[in-house]
Amino acid sequence: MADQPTNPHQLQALFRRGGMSRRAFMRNALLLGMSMGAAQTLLAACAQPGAPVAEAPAADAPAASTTPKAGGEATWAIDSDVVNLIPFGGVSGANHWGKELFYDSLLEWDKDLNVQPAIAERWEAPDDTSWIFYLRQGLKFHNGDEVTADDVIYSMELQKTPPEPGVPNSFYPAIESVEAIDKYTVKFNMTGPDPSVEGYLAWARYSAIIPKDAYTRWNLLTEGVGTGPFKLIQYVPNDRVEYERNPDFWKPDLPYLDKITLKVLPDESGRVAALRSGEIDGCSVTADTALTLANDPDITILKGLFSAPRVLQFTILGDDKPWNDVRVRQAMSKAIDRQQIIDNVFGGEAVLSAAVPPGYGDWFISSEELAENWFKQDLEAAKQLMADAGYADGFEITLYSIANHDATQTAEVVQQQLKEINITVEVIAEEIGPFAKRVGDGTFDWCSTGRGMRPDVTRYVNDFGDPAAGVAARWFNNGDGWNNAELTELYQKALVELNSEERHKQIRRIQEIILDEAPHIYICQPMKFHAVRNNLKDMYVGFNDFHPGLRTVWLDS
Amino acid sequence: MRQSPSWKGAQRSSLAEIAYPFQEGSHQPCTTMNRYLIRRLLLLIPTLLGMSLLIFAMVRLLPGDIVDALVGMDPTFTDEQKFQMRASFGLNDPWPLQYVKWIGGMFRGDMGLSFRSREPIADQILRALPITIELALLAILLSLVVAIPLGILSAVRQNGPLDFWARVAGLIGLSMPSFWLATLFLLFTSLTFRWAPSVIWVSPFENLPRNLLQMLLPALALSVQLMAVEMRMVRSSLLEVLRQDYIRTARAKGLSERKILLQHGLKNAFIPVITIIGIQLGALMGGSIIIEQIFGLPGIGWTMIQAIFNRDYPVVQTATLLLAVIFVVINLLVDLTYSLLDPRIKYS
Repeated sequence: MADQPTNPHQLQALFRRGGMSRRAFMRNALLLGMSMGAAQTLLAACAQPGAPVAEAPAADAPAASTTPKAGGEATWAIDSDVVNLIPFGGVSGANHWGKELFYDSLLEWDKDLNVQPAIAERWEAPDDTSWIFYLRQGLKFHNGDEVTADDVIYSMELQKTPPEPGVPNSFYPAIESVEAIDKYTVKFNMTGPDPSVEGYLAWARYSAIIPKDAYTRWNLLTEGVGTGPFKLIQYVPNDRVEYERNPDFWKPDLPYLDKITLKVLPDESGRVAALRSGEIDGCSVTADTALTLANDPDITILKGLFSAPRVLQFTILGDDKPWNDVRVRQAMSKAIDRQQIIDNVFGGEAVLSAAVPPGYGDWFISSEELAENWFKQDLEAAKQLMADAGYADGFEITLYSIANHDATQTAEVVQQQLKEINITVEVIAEEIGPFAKRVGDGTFDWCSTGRGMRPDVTRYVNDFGDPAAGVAARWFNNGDGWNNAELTELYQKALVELNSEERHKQIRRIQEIILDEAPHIYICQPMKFHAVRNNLKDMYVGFNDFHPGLRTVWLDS
Repeated sequence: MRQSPSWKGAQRSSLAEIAYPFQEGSHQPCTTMNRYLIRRLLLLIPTLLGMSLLIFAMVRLLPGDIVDALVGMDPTFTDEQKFQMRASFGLNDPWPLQYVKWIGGMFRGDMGLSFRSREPIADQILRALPITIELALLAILLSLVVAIPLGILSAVRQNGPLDFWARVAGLIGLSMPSFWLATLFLLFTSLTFRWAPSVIWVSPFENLPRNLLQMLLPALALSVQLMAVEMRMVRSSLLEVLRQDYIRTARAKGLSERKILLQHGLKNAFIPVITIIGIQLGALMGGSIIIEQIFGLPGIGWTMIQAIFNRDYPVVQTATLLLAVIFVVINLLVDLTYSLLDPRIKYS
C-alpha cells in the first residue's frame, strides 16, 4: 500500500494531494489513535485548503456538542493596545481588533475568504464601471437608526480621505462617486474597471459603514456606533475594550455571547498564566508556547494559515553591486535551504510561500510545487550561477532585520547557508521604528521582513508590477535598476481584469516571473496559533490576521 | 546649641527638641523650616527645566518619529504626505519653537494631546499613575514588613545562625530579577492552583479586597529585591549605632535592652534606611514596567514605554517630567524626616 501516514499532518497532506477516499482517511485516522470525533473534525478541515485545523488531542476527546449555546461572558487577550477606535484610516492591526466586533462593511469574508453579503444583501456589477449594492431593509445601527443609502455614501466618501488621526487609505478602489438609487440601493461609479472592490469591502478593515455625520455626533476615537454583533460599552486606553451583545444583529441568533472583553496583556507568560487559570478565555500564542500548552487538559490549540509571507528584499539600483545581476540573485535563492529555516526558526510550523501566500483563496502557487521547482535547494547550480556571473569568490552584503522577531532568526540562518557560496552576510537587527524608516527610504542592500494582508491579490505584486511607483521606486531606482516588461504588462491587465479565469492566469504568470528573477527572495509563511479554553467553541484562526471568529464564538459551560 | 547643666535636663531637652525642634529664641516657630522648604521647592524649578531640556532633546534624537512609526513601512505614502502629517503634529517647527510650545502649555496646565491616540495626556496620566503608585507603595510596605524585623534580629544576634541565614537569603533575593520572580510566581500559581491574579484592574476605593488580591503577586515580586537591600541596611546601620557611646551610657544608666533598641537605637539607625527607601520608591515609579506588562497593569511605566516605542513625544516628555517631580518630592520628604529622626540636624 502507499506510504502509511504516521501522524495527522502527513495524513492531512496525503488526503489533500488526492487519491485517498474519505473512508480510507477515516480508517487511517483511527489507526493513528484518534477518536471518531477528532477524525471527523480533521477530515472536515482537510476538505478546505488553507482552512485552520484544530489539533486533535492525543487522548480521546469527548463528543463535542455542536449546538451553540447562548449566554456567557468571554475575555480575549491581545498583545498591544488598540490605541483608538477610528473606523477609517487606522494604521495598526490592533486598531482593527478593536473595531471589527462592532462595525460591519457592505460585504464580509467567510472562513475561506469567499465574499458573502453583510450590510448589502446582494450586489451586482452591471457593467465595467459600476457596482450596485442592495442594502438589507430594516437593518439598524446600535443607536436604533436605520441603515440607509445616505449612511453608505457618507462612509464611502470619508474612507477615501479619513479625518484625523486617520491616514489616507491606499487600498481605496477606483471609485469616482457614490450615489443613492433609492433609500436602500447604492451605486458606485468607477473611474475604470476595478476587481478589487469586493475584496476591499469584505476585508472591512478600512470600509466600515457608520451612521451619517458620525464624526460630529460622537468622539470616534473612543466611541462608536455600528451594525456589528456587539455594541461598544467602553474603551479604557492601554487596558481593555468592553462590548455587549447587540440583540438586533442582522444575523439571527448571533452573537451567542452576552459580553466580550479584549484585554491588553503584552507579556506572553502573563497571557499563558491567565489562560491556565481561566482569567482569560483565549489568546494568540507563539509556536513554542503552543507546544507547551498542547498537553494541558483545559486548553485547545488552534492553528491556521494567515497572510504574513516572509521575504528577503533587495534594493536593485543598477549600480555595480553584485545582486544587480539576476544570476547572483538566483544563486542566492538556490543556495538557501528554506526547509531548514522552517524547522529552525518556526519549529516546522510554516509553509513555503511565494508572493501570494498560501491560503489566499486559490491565487497562490502551492507549497508542493514551490518545493519541487524554484525552492529546491541546489548548491551546485548556485555555485555555477555565481561563477557565470563572475562572483565565484563571493562578496559581502549587509542584511537588516527587525529586532526580536523571526526576521532576525531567519537572517542568521541565511547567513550560515550563504557561506557555502562564499557570500559573507552581516546581519544587523534594528528596532521596528528605525527599520521601518530604512525600508521606506530604501537605505538598505538587503533586508529580512514580511508582508501583511491584502484585500486584492494584485497588492501582493504591486511593487514588481509598478517599480517606479511609491516606495518601490526607491527599491528599484524608478525601474532603472530592475523591471520586467512582461510582468508590468500583465500587472496592468490584472488591475482591471474582471474575468476570473484570465486574471488567475495573469497572476500565475506574474508569480512565476518573480520567482524566476528573484527581485525579492520569498521564504515561507508561518502558521498562527491561538490557545483557547476548551469551553470556548467555534473559534478559528482568521487568515486576515484579525479575530473574525470572535463574532461567532460561544461558551459551553 | 544649648548647654544643659544636668543629665535630667539633657533628657528633657532632647524630648523638647524632638517635639519642638526650632523653638528656642524664636517667636515664629517654623520660620527656619519654612525657609528651608521654600528654598528646596524653588530649587525644583531649575532642576525640572534642565530635565525638560534633556528629555526633549533625547527623545528627538531617537531614530524615526511618529510618522515613521505609523506609515514608514507603507510604500504608497509620498514624502509630501509625510510632510503634511508631520505638520499636523507640529514636528516641522524648529526645535526651540516646539520646546517653547510644550513648556508654555505645561505652565498653563495644558499637558497636550498624545500623538498616537489624540487623548488628553492629563487623562492618561491620571488613570495610569495611581496604579503605579499603589504598586510601589505596596511593594515597599511588603518589603519593610520583612526587612525591618529581620534586620533588627540579625543585628542583635550578630553572627548567630539567624543572622547567617538571613544574610544568605538576602543575597539570593538580591540576585533574582523581579520579572523573573514574577514569571515564576505566575507559573507556580497557574499550574498548581489554576489561579492567576485578575486581569481587570479594580480601584482600591471600589473593591479593596479584590484590588489587594490582584496587586499581591506583582508587589511581592517587586519587594524581594527591595527587602534584601533594606535588610542589610537596617542590620549594618543598627550595628554601627549600637556601638556608639550614648548607647553604652544608656546601658550604664540601667535602661532595658528593649528600650535602648527601640527608643534610641532604631531612630538613629533609620536615617540611612529612609534614604534607601526614598531612592527605591523613586526607582519603582518608573522601573516597574516589566511587572506591569506581565500582570497587565495599565500603569505609568507601561504607558511610557509604549510612548517611547511609538515615538509619542508629548507623552514621553510629560510623563518623564512628572516622574522627575515625584522623585524630587520624595527625596525632599526623606530629607525632612531626617530632622524628625535626628534633632541635631537643623535646616537654616
